Amino acid sequence: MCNQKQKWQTEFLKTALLLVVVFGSLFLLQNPAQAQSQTTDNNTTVFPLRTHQPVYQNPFDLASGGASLTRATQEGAFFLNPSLPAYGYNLHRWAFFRTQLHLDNATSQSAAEAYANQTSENPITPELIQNALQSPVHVGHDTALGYVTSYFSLVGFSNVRADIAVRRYGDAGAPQVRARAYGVGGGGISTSYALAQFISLGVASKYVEVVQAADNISIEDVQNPDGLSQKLTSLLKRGKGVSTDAALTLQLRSKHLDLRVAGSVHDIGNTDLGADLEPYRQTVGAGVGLTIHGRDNSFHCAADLRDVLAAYEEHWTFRAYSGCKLTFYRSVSFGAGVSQGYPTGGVVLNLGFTRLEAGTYTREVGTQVGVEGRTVYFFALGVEY
Amino acid sequence: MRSKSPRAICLSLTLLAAFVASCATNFLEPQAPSSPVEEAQLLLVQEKFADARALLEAFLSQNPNDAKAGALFATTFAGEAGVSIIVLTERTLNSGGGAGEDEILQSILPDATDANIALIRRAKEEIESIPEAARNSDITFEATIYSTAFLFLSLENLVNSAAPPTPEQAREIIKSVAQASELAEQSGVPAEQIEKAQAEIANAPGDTDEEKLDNYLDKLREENGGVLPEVPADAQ
Repeated sequence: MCNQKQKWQTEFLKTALLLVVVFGSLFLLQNPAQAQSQTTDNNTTVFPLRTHQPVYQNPFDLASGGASLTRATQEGAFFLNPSLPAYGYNLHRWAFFRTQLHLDNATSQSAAEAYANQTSENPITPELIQNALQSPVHVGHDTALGYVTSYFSLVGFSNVRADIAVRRYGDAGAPQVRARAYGVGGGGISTSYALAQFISLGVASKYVEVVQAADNISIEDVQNPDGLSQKLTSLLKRGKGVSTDAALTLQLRSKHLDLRVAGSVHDIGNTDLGADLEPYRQTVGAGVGLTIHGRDNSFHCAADLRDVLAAYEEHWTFRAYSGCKLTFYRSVSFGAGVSQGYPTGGVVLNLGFTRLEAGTYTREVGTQVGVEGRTVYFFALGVEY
Repeated sequence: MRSKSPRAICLSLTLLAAFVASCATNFLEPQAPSSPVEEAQLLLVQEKFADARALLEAFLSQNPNDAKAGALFATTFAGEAGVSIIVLTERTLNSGGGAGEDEILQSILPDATDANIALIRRAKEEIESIPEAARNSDITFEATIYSTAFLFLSLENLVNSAAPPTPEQAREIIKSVAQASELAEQSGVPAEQIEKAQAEIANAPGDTDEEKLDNYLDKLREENGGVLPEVPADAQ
């Protein structure tokens, strides 16, 4: 018994070394030019729409600090660590549908007005702009549905984000409206396999269609809402491509304690989206998680560092996530953490086939963490089996 | 037998941490400083006008042809004088077109002290030093606002002082009126008050610019009790 345990630990150590060699090779083979972003004009402050973050994240994972490489919720595993479903006992895991609304804390009124005006020719009203002068307008809507088993997953998804903020002092001193809108949708398949009781591999491939628009809009255009709407429409760019991710998770498991270490590669080889859009850059993620659990309750804490090689040239504070989840009788879960330097929190209620999620997180939209965080409140409704 | 489990775990995590530490990420590096222009923008929001000015002055010494930075530099003076384009924009949107921009600007001007006039004069001069070919619509709009603000503040100062204008003051005022009118036309800003002032000065009795201006100022004092006309209520 003792020898078997020793042998098992030695195998784990060898595998960890293999992990270091594999990812170290990836680092050495990384084309240095890939880490060079398009040259940024120091006077250009149109912030990047695409960062290291995945195209879709489960909101409760976000509210729990966003450290999801070692333990993700339902569809979250597909986008962050496709090797996770291999751990567990049942073939069937989840069939789910989920929709969620994200609102900045000062946006609800603006969002209601924008929604009321969406059927008109010009959704950009003077009232919307006046609200944006007081505080940024940030709104998002996500939808996901799929089927997850221990060997494969099928997922469809869409998410839309819009952010309108007025900068009191723009590039030339005059106020500017910074408007950004981003939408992505698609579907994909993943497969996961447990090589041994402590190591699993996973690969996910997804088709994505992207629409985005971003610009700093002058104060003249702001005072002409018709022209503003037309200008935003003219800025729309579209693209599509196939994105492939791979991941590996190591797990040490005992009766009440699990330790996981995970590594992932996203957008392997960069995901080309066509001529109009910048490609999704290949990123490497690393995470560690510890779970204390009984039969029905668990307490999980984790920390992730995404885009370890800084392919998007973001400071590490943008890419660091940590947090904990506490689950009671698989029915109620609480999550809290720190995501991009901001606190997060959320709660989940599993009511049979229905899942309700609510919480808050903050997303940094500025060039430095702590400068311009958007505190988002979300509510999600899901059906699952 | 001694368990090697804790040692294996610790060694694995240490190796992983060593790998992470060997990568491009340097945890000890502070966040990359933003560009001087971005830092200046943040300082302006915090109303640290002098600090923003120092940053931009250093940046412009290396990049003298950067029109946007030059306009931002001019904004540091206007901001310190209390002339805020964002407030003007808010009032303009609120007015729903009920008043011209120059009328609304009158309602948000600071006190016509010598210090404020000197600051807004400097803002006007800095933005006028940007070549026309390098100006975008924002810079032209700012030039209009700063010229108009200088004009109104100078007139108010002269009205309140009750002293006749010097030849230099008269030339400066009349030049400012013409500049403000031209810039307003370029940027499409409604400027009824500027056009009215330009016409009234031109038609005022007198042989010289300072006589015309003096008579115009006397007329303003008689009509408004020594201050510029109040902005109509629906423009506020």
